Amino acid sequence: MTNKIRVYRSMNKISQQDLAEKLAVSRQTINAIENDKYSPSLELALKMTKLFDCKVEDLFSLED
Amino acid sequence: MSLLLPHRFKKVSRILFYLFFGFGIYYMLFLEGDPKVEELFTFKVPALINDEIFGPAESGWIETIYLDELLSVFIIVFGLMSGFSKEKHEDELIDKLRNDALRISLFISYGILLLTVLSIFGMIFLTFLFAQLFLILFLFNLIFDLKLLKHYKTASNDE
Repeated sequence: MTNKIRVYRSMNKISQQDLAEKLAVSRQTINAIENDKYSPSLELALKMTKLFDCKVEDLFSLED
Repeated sequence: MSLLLPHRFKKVSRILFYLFFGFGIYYMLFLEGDPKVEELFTFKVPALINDEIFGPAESGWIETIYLDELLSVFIIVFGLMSGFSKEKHEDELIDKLRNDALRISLFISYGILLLTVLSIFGMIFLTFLFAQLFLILFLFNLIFDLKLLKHYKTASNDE
């Protein structure tokens, strides 16, 4: 699974630390998700889409 | 239900676990059978079941060298506390690292047990079996701590 969190984060001018605080996770977790080392839970993914005001499929996509 | 202890237990239990585990190995290798140590730790304790080799199983007060029992209790309690205390920023990735460490340690531990069953014979088999009671806890804590170390060392990618 790939994601566009880094892109959305840049668009919203928000740092990894700020995003981590808003989602109640660590900065390392945000970093791991952005680098496709960890796939977030459905709950965390939905929190992200709510925060960035986008759809799940805008933020996450399955690799071919 | 998280089944995790507060973060304040983490540091002290981690230190005590590795300390008592190290001392346990030292005791098994060098101190077991030492009359001075045995005398120091010989107590009269209650026994639910005391199964003598040439006698029936009984319950009641018995006199025994209690150091291995004490070490076992400390290793188990501090090992569980260390592995199952919250991190400062406990989140779902930490939980995944903990689960992965537990799974890997289970596989390695039972792999070693299989090798032990198939290749160790005689009375020393019991020593190996006793040591392996604590192997899974040791491997779990070691692998989890290494994974945490790698996790916290993640390169700063802040933009």
